[in-house]
Amino acid sequence: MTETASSTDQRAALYAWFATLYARELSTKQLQAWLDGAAEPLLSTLEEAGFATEIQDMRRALDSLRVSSAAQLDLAADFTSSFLLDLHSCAAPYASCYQGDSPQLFGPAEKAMRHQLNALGLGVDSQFAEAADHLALQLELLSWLATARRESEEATHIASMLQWLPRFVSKAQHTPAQLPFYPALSRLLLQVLQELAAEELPHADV
Amino acid sequence: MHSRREFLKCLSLTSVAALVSPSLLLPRTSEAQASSTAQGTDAWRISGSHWGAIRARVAGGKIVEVKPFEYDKYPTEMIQGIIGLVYSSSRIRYPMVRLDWLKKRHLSDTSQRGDNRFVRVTWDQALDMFYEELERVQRDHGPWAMHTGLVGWRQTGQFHSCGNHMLRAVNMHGHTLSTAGDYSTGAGQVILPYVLGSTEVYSQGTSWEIILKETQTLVFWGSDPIKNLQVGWNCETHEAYAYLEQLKHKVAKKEIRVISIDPVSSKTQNYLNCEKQYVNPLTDVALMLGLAHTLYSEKLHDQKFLDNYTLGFEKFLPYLLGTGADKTPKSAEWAARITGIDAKRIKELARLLAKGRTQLIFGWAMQRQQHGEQPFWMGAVLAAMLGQIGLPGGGISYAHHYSSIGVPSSGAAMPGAFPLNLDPGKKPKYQSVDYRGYSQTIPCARAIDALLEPGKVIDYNGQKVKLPPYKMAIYCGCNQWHRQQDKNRMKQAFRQLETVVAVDFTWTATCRFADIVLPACTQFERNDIDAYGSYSGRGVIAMQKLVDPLFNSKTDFEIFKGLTRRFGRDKEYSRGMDEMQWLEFLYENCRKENSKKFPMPPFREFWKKGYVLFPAGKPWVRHADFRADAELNALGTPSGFIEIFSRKIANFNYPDCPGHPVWMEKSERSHGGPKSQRYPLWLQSAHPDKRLHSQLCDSEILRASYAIQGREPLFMSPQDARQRGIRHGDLVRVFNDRGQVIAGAHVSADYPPGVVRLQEGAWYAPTGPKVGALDTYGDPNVLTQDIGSSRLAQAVSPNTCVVQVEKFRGTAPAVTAFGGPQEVLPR
Repeated sequence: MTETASSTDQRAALYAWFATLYARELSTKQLQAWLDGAAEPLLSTLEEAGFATEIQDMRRALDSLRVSSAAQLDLAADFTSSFLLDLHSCAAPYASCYQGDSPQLFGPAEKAMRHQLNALGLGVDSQFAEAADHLALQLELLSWLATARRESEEATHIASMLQWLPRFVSKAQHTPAQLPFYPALSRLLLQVLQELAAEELPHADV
Repeated sequence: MHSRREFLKCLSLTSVAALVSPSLLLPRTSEAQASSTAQGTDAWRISGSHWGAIRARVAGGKIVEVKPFEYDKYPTEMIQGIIGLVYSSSRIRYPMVRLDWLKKRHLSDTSQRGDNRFVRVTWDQALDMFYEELERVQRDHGPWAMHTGLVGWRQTGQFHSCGNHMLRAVNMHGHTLSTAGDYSTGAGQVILPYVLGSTEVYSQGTSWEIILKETQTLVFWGSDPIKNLQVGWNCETHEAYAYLEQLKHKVAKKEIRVISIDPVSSKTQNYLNCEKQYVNPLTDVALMLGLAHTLYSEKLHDQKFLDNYTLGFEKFLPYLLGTGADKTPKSAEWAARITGIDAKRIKELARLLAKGRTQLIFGWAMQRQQHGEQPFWMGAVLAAMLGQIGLPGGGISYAHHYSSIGVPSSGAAMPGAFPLNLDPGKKPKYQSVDYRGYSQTIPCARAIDALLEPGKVIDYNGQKVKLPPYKMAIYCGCNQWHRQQDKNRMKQAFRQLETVVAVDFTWTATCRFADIVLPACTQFERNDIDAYGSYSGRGVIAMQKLVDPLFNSKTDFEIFKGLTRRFGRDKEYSRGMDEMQWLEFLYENCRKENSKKFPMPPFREFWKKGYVLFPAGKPWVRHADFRADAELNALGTPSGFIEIFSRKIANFNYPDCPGHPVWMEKSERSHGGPKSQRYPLWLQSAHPDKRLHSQLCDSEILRASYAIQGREPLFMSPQDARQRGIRHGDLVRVFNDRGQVIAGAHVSADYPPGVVRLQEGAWYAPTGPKVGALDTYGDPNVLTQDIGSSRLAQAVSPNTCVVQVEKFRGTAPAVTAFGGPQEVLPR
């Protein structure tokens, strides 16, 4: 990949970056790369592009990790508190949990996502034992659609995600997580998708 | 600065690429998940449960509909909670380890238990840690330090019965501290072998058909079969309801007189529209003594039966008549003052019981109290004085509310289970049986005492038990944090534990207070077989897997096989067989055993059809053989007779359980009893109507049908509510010196003044790990006492409990039981 890559490739990479962060905890190696500044070029670009508040929060979150004595474990515990405990206490990373009054697993959104993946000839890595409407898989799908230059479907999918993502992000601000990393990340994700929906992609009809 | 519109243009892909993992989406090949993302099939499958057999429709890899098995004519609505259970918001999705334990292992800060700080780990990491702890505890301490929690109402299925898996695997590694008794019938199952020769509580009873035909007066004494028969130990058939329906018709036609002796109007009383006899809570023994005194005074007792079939009536008589040490005749007038029942009415009742054929049917609640041995013993004495034990439709039963007891047994053998013991000749890796003077087995209800009073020597059923301060506890399919009394005391005790392992499919309080949490799948995500009808032996049911184990969960078999692999015993553990091979093995053994009288199809045919049913058994009368020939068919008591006086118990010299049944005041009691000035309401923690203990409490569909403002209902009388300015639907605070809970007021005329009910099994939901934290959902065991019934049984005493109730004022904290942050802080 080069800097001259098309904007679709760039979006694909950005979605994949978010997907990675929501799929699993950061390993010690990944976290070290973050702390060593590997994400800095990306953060700077986003900052310059107008996401200064969100990026400032991300940088503060990284600073808090630098002073933590067991950063990887503490962040992993936050990942659990944020996304892996029961669906009420955490910000459940499933679209189905934001349909209807009460969170539920494997609801209509999960079924719809499975159909969509099937229709595209895609399956989920068997190591990732998750429901199909998991946020990381939704972001992976966006990445795949961007790479495949299916902009209209990409826009439609972002629009459908934006129907529940604000509630997810709001929930992510109030989990028992102790470090600011995941709350800040979710705010950034929402801003980026809202921006793409508003300006970058063709308007979706949902 | 770039415009926001342009922001992507400047993105360096190389920088992003370094921080991105390989895609989770793959072209559909073998690497991609087949079942969950593929089309899935649309099919009906059969399965079983404590709540009955079901047929479930699976579409697109999801359970979408559940209906009762067509043989079940009286299905419970609880089966509608099954989908909510599988897809519960409280499912444990991954193996987890508590953060501080992960950092410091057994030296962790145990006061943090319950604070929800966990870290996801892989199965290999989790099982390695589990195994390393087994090694450490056996090596550094010994078998006294390793406690395997008694299982209780595990998920159904003979092969996957989780307690067997835990015990076989852990005992292959080393010996452990085990427990005796259970939380349901702890007092009853210890006292009745001395009195009637068997536990009675888990024995087949006189057939309903005979009761309907022969009984003239039927007494349900603290027994609520309409509520409790919804669930069964194995797959429940609900056949007993057909008889209860006939009983209802007979009551209407006045062909049989049915009296419910109970402080509250039970579901059964309301269903049958039968008579009710109110009695002050916890005073049943006084009422029985008043009845016995009347029977004797008016010569209505059966002296011949007492002479021929019982032992020790003459030693009981001085106590009854007041010619003994206490010089207090246990007359109807004496009983009236305690029980709240008019003496005249007590006498009338005694005469009625003696008049014709009388069947007494006792429930279990009255033995789940301090001195819980006494009502069961005195019930047997009363029945013996009536002289009808062993007659069709007469005598006493202690279990007609349980698992369709009273439906005749078919006589067919039921399938065996996965072995809980080591295979013959095999020895554990650590063979030490050095318990350092501590007892190898303790009464289950004293498990918390052991942690708080290490080394204490207690009396238990004629023995001395030295309580060991165990260091590690393993709970598998067992919600210890539901069934044990006095949660705040328990919280303190759990801080003594170095390591707690919990295996379950849902975030029970036991899992939240554990260090290593292993996600088992539900019974609907595995193949199994089960007995259809625990006592009726109606058939064998196939439990066909409905969906694959969700998320990262596994069967208990796979979990413990993985554990035994770590010390090289997995082949021995599984005997080299997989799930389906085990099912075939268990089924074919059963088929062989039944081959002469009850032919069964070969396994594959059975599995395809989903069930095999056996013909109904013949009606039967409990203790008829003993009555026919008391010498040839002697009871299992020391004398072979019904022991009204037990020399053996008398020789134990227990002040709280002497040689014959007696009335004893309780440590606390409503209606003028101790502590009632301060806490005037009796709290009963009955078995719930819409769940099985704590099972299904996490099913939101079911919970929505009974919860009030999202909290467990507190049933109370209109008078008590009015007095406190409480209206139906209000939130209330229920409290005593032991704790406080929030509940939702359910005002009902079924409850008399001074009596409130919180159903046991309500999930524990403290606002945090601190001792004394407010319970936000309504777990009665925050308020109940953790004291032994007596030195004899050392059983639980939750029904000896008084409380006060007030309207909850202010902003109620969110319910934390099914999730919910402990505190919501603004960022």
